Amino acid sequence: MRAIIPPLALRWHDGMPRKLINKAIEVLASGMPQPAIFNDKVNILRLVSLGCPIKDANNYSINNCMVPTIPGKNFNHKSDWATGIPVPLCLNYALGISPLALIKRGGDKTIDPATLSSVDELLDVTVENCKWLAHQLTLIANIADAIYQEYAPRPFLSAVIDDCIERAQDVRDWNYTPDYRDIVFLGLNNGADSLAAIKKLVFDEKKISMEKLVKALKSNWHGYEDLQQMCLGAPKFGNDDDYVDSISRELGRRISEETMKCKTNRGTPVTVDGTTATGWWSLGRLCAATADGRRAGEALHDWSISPMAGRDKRGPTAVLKSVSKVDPLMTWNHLLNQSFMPQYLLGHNAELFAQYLKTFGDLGIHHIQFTTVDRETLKDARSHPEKHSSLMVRVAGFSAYFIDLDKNLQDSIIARTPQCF
Amino acid sequence: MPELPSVSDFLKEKGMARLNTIRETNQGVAEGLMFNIQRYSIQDGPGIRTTISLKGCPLKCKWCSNPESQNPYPEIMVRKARCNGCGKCLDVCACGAITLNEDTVQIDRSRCDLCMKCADVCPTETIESTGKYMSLKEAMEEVGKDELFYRNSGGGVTLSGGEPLYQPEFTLNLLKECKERALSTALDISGYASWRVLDRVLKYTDLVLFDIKHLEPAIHRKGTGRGNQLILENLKKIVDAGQRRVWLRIPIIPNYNDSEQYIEKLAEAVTKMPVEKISLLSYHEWGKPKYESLGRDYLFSDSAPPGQERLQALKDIMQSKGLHNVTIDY
Repeated sequence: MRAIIPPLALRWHDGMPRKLINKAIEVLASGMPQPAIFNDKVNILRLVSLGCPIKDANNYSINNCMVPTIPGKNFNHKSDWATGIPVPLCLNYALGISPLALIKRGGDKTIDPATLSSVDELLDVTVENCKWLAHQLTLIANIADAIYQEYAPRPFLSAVIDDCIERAQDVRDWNYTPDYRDIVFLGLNNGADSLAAIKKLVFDEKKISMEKLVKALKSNWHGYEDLQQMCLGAPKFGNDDDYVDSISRELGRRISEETMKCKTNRGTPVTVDGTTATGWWSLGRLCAATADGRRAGEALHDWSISPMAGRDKRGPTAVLKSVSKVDPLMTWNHLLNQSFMPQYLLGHNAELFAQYLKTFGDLGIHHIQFTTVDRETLKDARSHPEKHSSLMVRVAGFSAYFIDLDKNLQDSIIARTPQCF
Repeated sequence: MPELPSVSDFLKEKGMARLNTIRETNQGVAEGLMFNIQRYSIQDGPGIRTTISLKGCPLKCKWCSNPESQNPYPEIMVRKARCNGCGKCLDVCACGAITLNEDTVQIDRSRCDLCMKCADVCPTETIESTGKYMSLKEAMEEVGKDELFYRNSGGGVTLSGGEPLYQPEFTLNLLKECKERALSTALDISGYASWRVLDRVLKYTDLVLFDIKHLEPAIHRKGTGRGNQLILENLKKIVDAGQRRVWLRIPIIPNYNDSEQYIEKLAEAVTKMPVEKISLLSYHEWGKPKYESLGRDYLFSDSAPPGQERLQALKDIMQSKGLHNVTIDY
């Protein structure tokens, strides 16, 4: 079956039969972006920590692409609201840069770049802004929920959920504990990369002033190209570098804590979810230039925890290490996407890939899904090298970035790479 | 009597300013010089590994795909396609070695003294320094990062190069330290080193990856710049001792060691050696752009890599001689 819908989820645990792992790798190697892999080690614990009975948590499954659900239980069927908050928007707003009227209207905080004394202060204000938006969205969602409950019952769904018929209650009325309402945050690592660049260039090395950087961001780097290059050269998430990974962890944990303080109509905490869909692209269009070197309107990093495209240069183990540091249990329901050349999933390499997946499980990372690099991607890298600067070509004793190879050599690699579905 | 010029002025005048920097940096360095650290390395030994590539090699193989691995000092690599013509490098160059030609940087390597200031200021990574000194502690920190991956996959640490035996003290200490942390170790070598050095490091080595480039001394010298007597003697000693796992690596180089007759002869020579695996590694031309970034000529440009069929045919020959542990690797 080569269908993308319905999405396949695979629960990863230590007792998995080898045959199943091999089959999963075989499917991934064929170019399918499935199955997505969910780690029991963190998911079950997370559900229990939200108040779910262990018996039900052990039986979890995945709804749509990311939302944990408990088959037959009224866990995530009561409310219908989810939307995305771009973290970089909140960071930029803290510096007085924002094209959005939405958050100009109250509650939000900005800080004068001239008086900014540390990157921690900026992080605090960024979290304040995230918190303010989360509360506004919760308010809207609570109103929507109340209206749904009154005017939009779900009789068909109610018929297949345990206890609804016995209780003569619609899913929207029957209160299984806990329930799952989420807010999606995007661009966490654009936020972390930006704060790392500010920390390094403005505060540690004092190479640029905060006022000048804000001017550069407001002008979308026009006339400040050297500043942009400096920011691009600062530490980036996904390289197993504590300098920036620790910022991502702090930002993620703080946002999660604040979001959990938002309450649904039933008084249960709102959780952070990684179901970003295509928001990293569409909401990226709303975000002005960011201090990580990104230009205005460009996509944010994909999904909710991946490194920014092209900036993870230490290979796949470094990415897993970085992600594991963001504390998957205490932060949120994260979506990580990784891209591999098909050769890494074939033949003898498939065995090593299985051990890489085992380590993903041991590191307690929440979720991972894969795309294999296909011909189209390589062709794109040939014509837009700046977007694919971390694409590696490796054979024994040799490695180079794809974009640095001769055009002829690039063509020969493109010719050898299978076309993916 | 005219005064003699100072050594440093003399070298500058003769277009060898770089030697001044090299003389300074090489004095009393207890650190290792490496040009690459590769994590998720899966071709240099079993399992998921971290390969540390040390810079400096006594051989100068004409087909080398990592020319930046050869010289035992940091060098400048220039990837011209990345240059935006900003000219920052011009401002910091004290040797006047840099010019801009049609908005692209140009380095006169005979004037360059390798101070690396241009690489430090280059905003686009057009000019990069290759070769980084690292202390044992720093190297071990890097190695420790993927420990969990090694344990799960039966992997470990590979020291490669260049030639790791070219930095014997650092290599020895790093291997020792790895064994102290119970990490599996592999040593990827050309074999061109004195037995005294090799013997000491082998104690802390689980697997030896050993290259055979050619069996004929004269041809070996022609392709690599050195004879092969020392190399073959060392191989025999390692194999005879019988205490280390050994993988032989045979680079298949067109018009050099890829004839049927030669492969037959090679098979006969290694048939009695109790090695675990023999890897045929195809010559490839992907290192070519690196020669350009180092300002060197690529001497091997008219050779096409042997195709899969050719490699398979050579593997079959070795198999027919009773070698059943031959693989075609990448």
